[in-house]
Amino acid sequence: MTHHSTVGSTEKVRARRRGSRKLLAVAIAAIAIAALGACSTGGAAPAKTVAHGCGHGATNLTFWGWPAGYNLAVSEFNKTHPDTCVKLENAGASTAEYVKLSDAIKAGSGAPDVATIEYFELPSFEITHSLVDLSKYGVSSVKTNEAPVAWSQVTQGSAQYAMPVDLGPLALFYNAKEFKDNGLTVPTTWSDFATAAATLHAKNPKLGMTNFDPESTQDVLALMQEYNAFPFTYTGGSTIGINFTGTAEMAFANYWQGLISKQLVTTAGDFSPQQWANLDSGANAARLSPAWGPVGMQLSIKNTIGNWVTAQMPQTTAGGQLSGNWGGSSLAVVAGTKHAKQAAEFVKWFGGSADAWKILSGPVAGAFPAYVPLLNDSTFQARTLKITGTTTPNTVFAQAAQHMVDPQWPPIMTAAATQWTSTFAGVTKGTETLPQAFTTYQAQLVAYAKAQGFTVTTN
Amino acid sequence: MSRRAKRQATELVPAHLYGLRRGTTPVLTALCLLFAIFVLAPLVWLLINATKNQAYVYGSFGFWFAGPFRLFQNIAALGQDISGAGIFVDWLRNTLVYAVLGAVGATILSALAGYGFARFRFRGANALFFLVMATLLVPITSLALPLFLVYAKVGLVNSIWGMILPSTVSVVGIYLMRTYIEASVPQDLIEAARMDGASELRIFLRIAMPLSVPGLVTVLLITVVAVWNNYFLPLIIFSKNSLYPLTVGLSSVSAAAESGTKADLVPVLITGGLVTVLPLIALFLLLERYFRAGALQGSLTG
Amino acid sequence: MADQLAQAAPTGTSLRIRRPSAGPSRTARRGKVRQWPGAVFIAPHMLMLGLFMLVPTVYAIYTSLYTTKLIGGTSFSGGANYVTVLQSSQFWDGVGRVLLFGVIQVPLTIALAFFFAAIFDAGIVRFSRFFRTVFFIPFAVPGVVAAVMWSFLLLPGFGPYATFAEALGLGKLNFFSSQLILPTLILIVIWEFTGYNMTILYTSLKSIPREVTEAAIVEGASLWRIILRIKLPMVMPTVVMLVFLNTVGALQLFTEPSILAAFQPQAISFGFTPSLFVYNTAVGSGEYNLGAAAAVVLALIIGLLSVAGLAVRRRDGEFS
Repeated sequence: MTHHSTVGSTEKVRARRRGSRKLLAVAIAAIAIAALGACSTGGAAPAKTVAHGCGHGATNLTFWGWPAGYNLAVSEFNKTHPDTCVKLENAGASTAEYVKLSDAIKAGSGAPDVATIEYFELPSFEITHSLVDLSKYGVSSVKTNEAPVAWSQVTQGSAQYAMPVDLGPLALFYNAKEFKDNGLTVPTTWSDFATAAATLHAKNPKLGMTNFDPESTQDVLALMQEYNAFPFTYTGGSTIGINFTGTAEMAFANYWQGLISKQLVTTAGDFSPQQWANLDSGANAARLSPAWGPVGMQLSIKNTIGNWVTAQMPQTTAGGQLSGNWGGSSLAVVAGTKHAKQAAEFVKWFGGSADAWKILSGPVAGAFPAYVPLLNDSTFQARTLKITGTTTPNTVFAQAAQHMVDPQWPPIMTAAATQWTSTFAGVTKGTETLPQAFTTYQAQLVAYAKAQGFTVTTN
Repeated sequence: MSRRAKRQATELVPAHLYGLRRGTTPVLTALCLLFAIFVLAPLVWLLINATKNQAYVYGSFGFWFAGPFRLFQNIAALGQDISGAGIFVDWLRNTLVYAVLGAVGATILSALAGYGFARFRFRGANALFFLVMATLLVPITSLALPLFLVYAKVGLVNSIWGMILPSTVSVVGIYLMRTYIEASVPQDLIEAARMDGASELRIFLRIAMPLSVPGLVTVLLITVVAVWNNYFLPLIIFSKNSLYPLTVGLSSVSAAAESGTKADLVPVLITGGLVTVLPLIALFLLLERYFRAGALQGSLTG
Repeated sequence: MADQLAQAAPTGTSLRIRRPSAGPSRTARRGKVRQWPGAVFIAPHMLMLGLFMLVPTVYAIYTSLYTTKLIGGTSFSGGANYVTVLQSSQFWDGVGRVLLFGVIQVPLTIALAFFFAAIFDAGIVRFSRFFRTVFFIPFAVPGVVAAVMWSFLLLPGFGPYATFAEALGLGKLNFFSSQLILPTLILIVIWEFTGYNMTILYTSLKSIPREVTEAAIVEGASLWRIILRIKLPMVMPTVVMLVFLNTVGALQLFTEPSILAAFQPQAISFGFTPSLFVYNTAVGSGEYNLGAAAAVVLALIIGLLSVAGLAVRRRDGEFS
């Protein structure tokens, strides 16, 4: 009952507090809106440049792609090709895009005219007859301008299913200062590499030679290419070769498991902050990196900038020159397009012209070319990066690009990648070994391929 | 001082009234404070790290500022082309459009249906209500894909209506409106209006709805939140970046940040998260009491 | 307006969740009332529900009876997909995991929510208005943003929480290891939903007439006794409703683990939750028909558990 006497003033207090709450809310809203104002001034311009140069009556092409800087190349194309108007859409990166692309193809609507597809995924779309054979549109004439490994991955017999754009040849980045401090020489074979790792570890048990991420499908498969232990064979049709348990494959698995077990290498996730920290603190003295690897690295390290020198990958046999490919993508023309001719012309320009590569190899895109004229270009090879000091990584990568293993990807890579992480997680956690994971994975993938109606060979 | 004392006199009940020891209130208040810290800490982290560059997000203490103050650059980066074609302002505008249209539609449909279930008795009403409630059990992950294939047949892929129309179905909204109308719209009032010859629509609009305003506002706010936070449906049905809502746009930034080619997206991702959260928090602070008023809401399954 | 609302709410609506009565009140039934408009009023919603929920559901069930192979095309396969799902250890591992998750997360969330709601309702906490608002805020944070924030906060070796844990002498905790991933997800979901549950329970508690509490105090009952023996039974229908909604949410767990998977792939396996299994099978592996069958099995499991749970309540004469 005593509460009644205070009711009036309580109401006032409440009203006042409500006022301050509203003020706070309004302030937050104002900040948010101000933030958006800042966005819109920055945002409007690039959105419009994509459509620049699209005149009346131009043929419209939809292009799905996600890599950085593609918008710049597209707007250059639109500027110089008034009859064609390419509209770039980001439908997701990698697998996310492939899922959407295959859904759209299945549904019979909503597919683009041109799509960015990584090399390993091309056979999955070839087998469903979803890609236009570009050899019919005179694109094959660019063959001599493309790195052989890229060309072989976009062709099947005489048919050409995509235009190569970039590549990801592997090389070895090593911390020159740390190597010098510990008296290490640059390893040229995998056995040298293991010895150097042991030496380093003996000096300081906290140091590991490099990082090996068992869960990264493309990283491991690229290293397997380079080790001459690529587990797949496929030449079109309904027969797939899957062999994770062969001699070379098991030798690869045992080699890395040996390094992991002795803690000579770390098993952080690729591109995880842990990996960057390991490189920056010296906990990793080297990085087995694709050519596009420095893009992320130079933004994520502080202390070791300038120390990183590039060398050829260690080899299985002394005197070898092999490299593997991690990443890189192509442009494919999607079946069902009404403008195959214009689309073919666009992809030919995008992957195979000096104009396009001026932009694609620039600071925003930072793509590494499969385009041979640029690979051989002395200015390109002489480029330096902040993290590599005065050394020139492109010299090594361009060399590697000419000596790559030609992988035959099976048409089941989406499922293969989806299952991979679950199966290989135990290697990171230390609950299983890499050879064990290979054995498990072999059984899983063979079962999947058979369920999909393929004939599977395992040797 | 006196105001404060008076406020406490009304809001705070002296612990000894309940036969509790004197220290009880401070102890319980401290417990609440701990939980409040637990709740606010991630948001404070979001605010602080939106001011850093990538190297410092990883390399400095998470709950304090470090490195160059980059908030404005990070905000500006939201407006630039992310991985070629992503524009944050478009995403925010889309989210607003979907949330407003979807929520208004859901509120209208829920009000109509809630009224129908609450104040009429017709054949099959119970079975239909059971059917509505049973749809709560269907996992959304299993609906999105068939929905996509159905959409493809009727041309709703990459259409904003493909997002908005399903958002107008709110099971919780119907449940709430039905319960609210049963409690606050007297049947006798409806009977009286009928005696006076008012049409059913007129009764609904002029009598039932004005009495249900708090319920309507609650449904509106719940459905705004539900659509604002919806991730899976737009993920499946949109392949045009320019149609994404914030949730899908942010997850595409997140994927790009993890792919290693553009690792500098992490601060952009964090700033984007901040800008996504702020408008809703502002809305909550403004309209918080409406949520309480409704109180029966249960869109918990997000 | 806001004032009206605040006052109208506790009295205008009974916040206890009643079983919606099977029709209008008795007075209405006595009168000669046309009842067909009811069907007209619900028609627009039923149309939308039919188009956007029932059609896809039926379509999913239909496709689950077929099998599509990359080599060989589509053919009717009857229950073969269901046999595969029922025999899949990955699927059942996921079911077991979300059941364990739910058994821990749901009671914990609701107990915490009820504890805070009860002490705020009793008025024995300072600044309770402030706390009520703060606790509710995470509900406004989309699951995508929440998962991103938490994955950074808990990052092994870098995240401030991992650093705190180390400073507290807990060693190098990996919140995403196989032992800790479930507790980590429980932590995130508790963060997201405790305030929301608390708000509903608080409003429900507020609707209990003051006289009930006052009488109990006069009789000398302790606060804890009042809360647990008098108030809790009165808001039990709300608690049951929340248990139901939280449980359905737990069994369908998807967004949080799927976003965490982007940052911590090793922590979230293919079939970590049944919803992830459905998604990874249908989308990741392109085995759409198998995914549809898994979705049907999952919906049936959730439906059976709900029916069982509700049957128990109905026997006790409460919420239906």
